[in-house]
Amino acid sequence: MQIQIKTEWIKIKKSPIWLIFFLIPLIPAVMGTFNYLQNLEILTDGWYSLWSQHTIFMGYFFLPPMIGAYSAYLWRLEHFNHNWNRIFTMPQPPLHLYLAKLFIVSLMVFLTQCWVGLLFFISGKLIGIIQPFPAEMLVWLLMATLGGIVIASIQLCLSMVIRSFSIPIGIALMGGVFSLAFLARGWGLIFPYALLAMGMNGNTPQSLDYGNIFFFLISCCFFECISFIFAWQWLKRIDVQAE
Amino acid sequence: MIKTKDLTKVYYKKTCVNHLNMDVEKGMIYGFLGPNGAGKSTSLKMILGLAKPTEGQVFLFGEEITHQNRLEKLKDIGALIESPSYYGHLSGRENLEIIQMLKECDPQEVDRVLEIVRLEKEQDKKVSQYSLGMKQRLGLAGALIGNPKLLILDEPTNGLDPAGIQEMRELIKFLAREFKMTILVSSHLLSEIDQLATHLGIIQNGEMIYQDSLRNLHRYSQQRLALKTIDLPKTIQILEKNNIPFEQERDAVLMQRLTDEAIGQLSCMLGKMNIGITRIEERQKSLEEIFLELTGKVVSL
Repeated sequence: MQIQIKTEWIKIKKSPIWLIFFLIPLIPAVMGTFNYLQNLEILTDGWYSLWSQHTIFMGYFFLPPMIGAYSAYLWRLEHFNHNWNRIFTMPQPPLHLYLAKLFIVSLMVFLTQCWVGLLFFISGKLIGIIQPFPAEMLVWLLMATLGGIVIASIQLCLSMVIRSFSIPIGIALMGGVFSLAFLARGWGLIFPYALLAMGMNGNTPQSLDYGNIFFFLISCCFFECISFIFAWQWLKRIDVQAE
Repeated sequence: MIKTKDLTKVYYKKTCVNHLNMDVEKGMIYGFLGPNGAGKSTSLKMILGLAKPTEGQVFLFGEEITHQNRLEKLKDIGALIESPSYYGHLSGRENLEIIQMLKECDPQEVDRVLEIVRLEKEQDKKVSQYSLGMKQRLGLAGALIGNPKLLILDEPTNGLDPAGIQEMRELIKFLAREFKMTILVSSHLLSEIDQLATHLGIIQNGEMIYQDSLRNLHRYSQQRLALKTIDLPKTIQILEKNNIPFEQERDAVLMQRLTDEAIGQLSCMLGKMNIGITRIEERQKSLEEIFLELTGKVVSL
């Protein structure tokens, strides 16, 4: 496994995916900050209000397709130029390839959350919020990372099976949009794409309920396991067909 | 080294490979010949475990391949299937380093194989900027990492220009000679296999229609004698009268090789009858004609 993680890192290190990584989170950060400044009379809660504005766009519309793009890119490398053939004639178990990719995308999700957090902090400082920075936000970023990893594990399955680059990203976008509906009804835990936005806790920024965190973690584990079983079974049966 | 027993693959009710019995022994350069779509790639994929046989078994290095021992066997095999395969955004060297890590061999292997395929100077260039010939050589370099005992190359010269084909052919011969590798190479070009292989198997519509050494095949291509005269019907009469076996062609007769003496007598006879001889020439059967004779099938190669 370690070997594949290293080789996956070589593949992604010099890839254009880092442009998406750096540039996309700037959009919701700027939009959110702008929204916040426009509605100062309603949004009176300093950091918390700014957080709600940032996360509205980030969690629903931007991060899920971004994670979809990371996953699609990593599999696209194998779908292109007959690399499937080569990678599966290497003396390494195929499932390790999926797990290594999951590890790398998870790492990228974590780094993305760090970048999102940094952008949030900078935005707040720039517009002159004077209250102390609330530490819970670090917990929310961590929970959002876990929710993002769930999306990654599903997207990696989709992009492994679907050769197209954009279809799985489209599915991730739809997932993000539908998660609005699930969360509005309070059904966030049963919809994997909603876990990220739920973890970010943008709707009700002041309530951090530890009971909810427990169920949140259970739900994350459940969807992780489903993806893992799917990848395992699919890679066991796969036939690299003659083209 | 490789043996397949009744190897069969059915994709969506279409039989791509039909009870294939292949036998590749140590030290051979085995040419696997067949028209496009005959089932070459599918056969090679089943040998490597990339596709699962519908029926039949694959034996590598004398042992039947199972789910358990497959990865172990792959360590001794270098493969290039539906080549070239590469990561375009990485340099040639990085591509090879990935393979070297996955094959868990010495990092110096990368330098060794770069030297063999003569890509040392271009090793730090992005592979997307390589020419097709360079990509193909890089693919071969990748297959050579770890100095495998068995090399499986699927159409390694496909798409290359004549100089590239020549270079690839020399490289393959060099590998067999220098490193004693056993090589299975597929192609749809008869002339290519003829110049490269020691043994060959011909596949058509998923069936192995011929398998033997190339030398045996050439034995069939014995020379014949073609005779043209100004009066073909009378010539035929004379041949029949003297019990000389022949076949008639459009404007000539074809005979087995005759002794010089017999030819002399024949020409005198024809001369006496005032039948002028316009041509006597030796003909060799082409490999295509031999296939036709051996298999009774027209092979378009």
